[in-house]
Amino acid sequence: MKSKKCISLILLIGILLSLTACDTEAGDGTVEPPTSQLSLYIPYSYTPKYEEALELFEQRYPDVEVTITRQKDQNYETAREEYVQILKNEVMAGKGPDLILFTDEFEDVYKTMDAGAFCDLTPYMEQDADFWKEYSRPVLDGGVFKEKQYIIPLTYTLPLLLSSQENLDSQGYTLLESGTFSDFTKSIEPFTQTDSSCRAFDGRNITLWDYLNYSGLDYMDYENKTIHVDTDAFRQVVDAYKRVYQQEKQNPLQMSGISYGGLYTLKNNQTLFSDLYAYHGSFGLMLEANIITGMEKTPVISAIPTMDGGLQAKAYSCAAVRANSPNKQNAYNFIKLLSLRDSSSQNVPTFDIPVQTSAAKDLVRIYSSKIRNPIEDSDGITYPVRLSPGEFIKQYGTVLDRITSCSLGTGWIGSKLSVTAQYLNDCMAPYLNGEKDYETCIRDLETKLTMYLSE
Amino acid sequence: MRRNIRKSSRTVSSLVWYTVLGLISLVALLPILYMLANSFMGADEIRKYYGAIFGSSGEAAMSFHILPDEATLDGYYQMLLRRPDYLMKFWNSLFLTISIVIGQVVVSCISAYGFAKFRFPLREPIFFLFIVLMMMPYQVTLVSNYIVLDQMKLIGSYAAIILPGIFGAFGVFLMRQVVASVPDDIIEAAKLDGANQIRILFRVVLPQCKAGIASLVILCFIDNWNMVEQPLVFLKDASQYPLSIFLSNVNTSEPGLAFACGVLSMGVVLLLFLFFEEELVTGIEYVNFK
Amino acid sequence: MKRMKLRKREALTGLAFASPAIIGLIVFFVYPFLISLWYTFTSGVGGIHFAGFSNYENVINSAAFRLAAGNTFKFILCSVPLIMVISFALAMALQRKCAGALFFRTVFLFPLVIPVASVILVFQIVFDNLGILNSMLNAIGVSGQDWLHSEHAFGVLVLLYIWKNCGYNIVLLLAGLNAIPKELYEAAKVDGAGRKAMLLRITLPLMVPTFFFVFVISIINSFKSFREAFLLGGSHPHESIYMLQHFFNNNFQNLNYQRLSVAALLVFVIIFTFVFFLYLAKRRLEVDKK
Repeated sequence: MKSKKCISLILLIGILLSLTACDTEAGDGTVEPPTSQLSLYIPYSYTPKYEEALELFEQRYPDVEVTITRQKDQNYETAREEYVQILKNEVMAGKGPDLILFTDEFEDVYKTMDAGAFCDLTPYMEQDADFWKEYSRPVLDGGVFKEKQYIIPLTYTLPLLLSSQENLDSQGYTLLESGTFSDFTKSIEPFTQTDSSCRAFDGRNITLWDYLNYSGLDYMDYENKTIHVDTDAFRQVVDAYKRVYQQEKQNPLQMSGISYGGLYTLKNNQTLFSDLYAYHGSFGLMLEANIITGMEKTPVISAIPTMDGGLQAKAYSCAAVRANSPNKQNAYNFIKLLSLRDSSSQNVPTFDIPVQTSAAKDLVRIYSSKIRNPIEDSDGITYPVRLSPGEFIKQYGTVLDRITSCSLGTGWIGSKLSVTAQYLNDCMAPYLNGEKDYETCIRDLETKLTMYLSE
Repeated sequence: MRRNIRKSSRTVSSLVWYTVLGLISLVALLPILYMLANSFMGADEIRKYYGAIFGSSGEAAMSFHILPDEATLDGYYQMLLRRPDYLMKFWNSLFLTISIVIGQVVVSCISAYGFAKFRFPLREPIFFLFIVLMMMPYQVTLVSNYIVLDQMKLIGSYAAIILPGIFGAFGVFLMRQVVASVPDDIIEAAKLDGANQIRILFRVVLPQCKAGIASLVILCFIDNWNMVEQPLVFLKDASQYPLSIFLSNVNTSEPGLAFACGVLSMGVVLLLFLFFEEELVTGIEYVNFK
Repeated sequence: MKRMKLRKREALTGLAFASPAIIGLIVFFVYPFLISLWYTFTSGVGGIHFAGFSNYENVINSAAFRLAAGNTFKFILCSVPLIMVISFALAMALQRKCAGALFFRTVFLFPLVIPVASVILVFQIVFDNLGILNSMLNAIGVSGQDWLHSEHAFGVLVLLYIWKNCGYNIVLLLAGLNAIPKELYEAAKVDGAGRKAMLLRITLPLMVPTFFFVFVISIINSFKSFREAFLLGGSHPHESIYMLQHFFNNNFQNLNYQRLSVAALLVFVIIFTFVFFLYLAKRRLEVDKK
């Protein structure tokens, strides 16, 4: 009896010791051969785009059996919640669709990557180097984590500054085509005083998170689990935001939900630029640009540079392959088709900027020529349109060429702020309102974010 | 003289007793009364007074507002008549909860008899395991439960919620104590009369445990009526969701209806509670905790 | 020989009766637990890479986990003894056999019946920065506090826990109290024992099994108060109420089942050890009823 116990104890210790020895975190490093199946979930948003890609896929890979689950037609909130549940529960249990398509469904994309939910697509992309040459490398690199490509961004947004030359001239502002974030904030300083009659842009929905995103500061290091908020650069951004924040608080923009609000404020000289968010990219951008041309003005475009003088994009819709999917090759092929925005997929307008650079530049030209008839918005106001000048399209192209980095995550999860954005708001609010000093707030922020990263 | 003093001192202590307990019960009841009173307020009134926590009407501070300015049944009207999904969710909740309660009572009574009145090897360690597992928060087994239920192809059906609910350890824990307090002589007597075990269980033991069963029914009902996480994870279709999820959503999305909805949700449990209260409170007195 | 056969029969019958619960336990608790145990040694969704003990190292070194564990422990340490004392005092007070006692007993059970979401709504209205409590304090000149989003949130949570669970504890304790034979008290009075001595020598020792039962139930309910903390403070509340279940839940949302399982396993080990010692203590302190 005793010897039995001894043996089993030794065995147990042996197993435990061998467990400590094993610590393989190795990626696959190899490309798996194609299989004959693929399972997809087509979510509630952007369904026409996926249907388009599906058609293409079935044409090019007729041997693959595609299992599609489409979401029922229901109200947006419920559909979104349902999709989120599917993504989380099924994927975590090791099942679910091979291809994961998402915009802002994940609470924290970086943490999800860290949890090993997605598979490393680097070997697949290396085989296809020619295909990916057409794509913006800095944006693709945004989906790299710990030197592995887990996510492929499909579309992105930029902090675009759209205005008309006449407006800028009348306000005495020269559009910067290069320079750093500090240069930019200095240039708009006269317009971010509390008593400025014309402000830089509509600051009502811009949070501190957004401003930090524009500045390209990398203050959250998910790989090493460290925070870098105690820097001068960070303070510069906070102070710049403080001006916009105070201005909005003490002198709120007098304008209630009018469609194309950005154009409205441009026309009335209330702002220098149109809205920083929302429609900008491709279709929406050309809509506004054509309207500006229709007003007999010259549209011009630039973007808010980062601290280093580059330009940071923000990934919008992304695709990834489930880490333990048996059909990785097929899923990867589908992603390639999804990312196409060139002439092979044109029927569905793109509202954000596609990562495929040639398409990004061509699409705006195509959309501009398509938007011919006067636009009537939901308030009954009609805007005449005219074809935007070629100069504008070219200028837009140069803006796209300025991109140097890309971030994931949008700061919003559905209609709620993400945890990081919430912490930024809560911790810095006393400083922005002038109640507490900077040091205290930054300490608080640092503690909270460090705790968040260690979770 | 002496008798008078003793009598008056007793009345004084009685008075103190009543007052202290009365105040404490007021504290216990306050939220319920508050909810009840506020459920008769219209949506606008609620927004006016409580807007602050819902982030709408600026920075107005909230004050104690228990009597409605204009009493209205609008909240109830909206919930019961204007919202078809409310009634559907109500029946979902009822179906789920009653199934679990019935299942758990049956399983626990039978198993508790085994644990309480018989000796078999590993009895104590197994029961110990019950206690420990009962204490674990549900998130621990949620995902692995998902995997198991998926293997059994039950995800998306009500069985995914009902089955784990039936085998909740609390029922066995409680019923074991209750069954253990049934005096052995009655069982011996029945055995001498020639009854087999099953007969003993149903005809002799369980009738003695009515109070314990009643309290299990109530507690099990309350616990499962308010469950939120399991349906979210194990059910796929939003139309299958029970009332508890609806309630937590409505609190944030439509505050005007929140109170009425809460009262209605509470109403069922309260009715059940009052129905069984006699058994629950008085009967359980005779349970001996071994 | 006959004795052995009888014993074997008893064991088999006992097992037969206990089997439904045991089978359910194994399928829905033990097996999933083993699955999650396996996952603690892997990394990557679906458990594809083997990771040895790296997950354990990671979690134990995580500041968030330490905070959560500390807070949960602190919460239990504060609220369970507090609720035991309060409910015992109230139970003793309610031992009178008058109509008032019955009424109060029922009333104290009411808080258990309200759905959590509704309770939270009322608590938010009272304790919010712009809520009723602060308005009243400001009216008498005392500055209000941010009750829900500062270290006071811990106190609010304890209050919520006690408010909700006192009633049931009272009922259970009353059951235990009433099970003590009155003759013991009579005999003690004849011997000249005072109230205090009767309490210490008779009541407390005989209540040990009941105390054990109520203690276990109270701890289980304290784990359940995660739902209140979540509704009051969101998924990342103030650090004073950041508890283990928040850690579980957030890792769940980020698909990091491995970390969740590791944390759960550590909790399991702690609970296991704790209940084990509790069992031993109970056996030591139990008094023979002579």
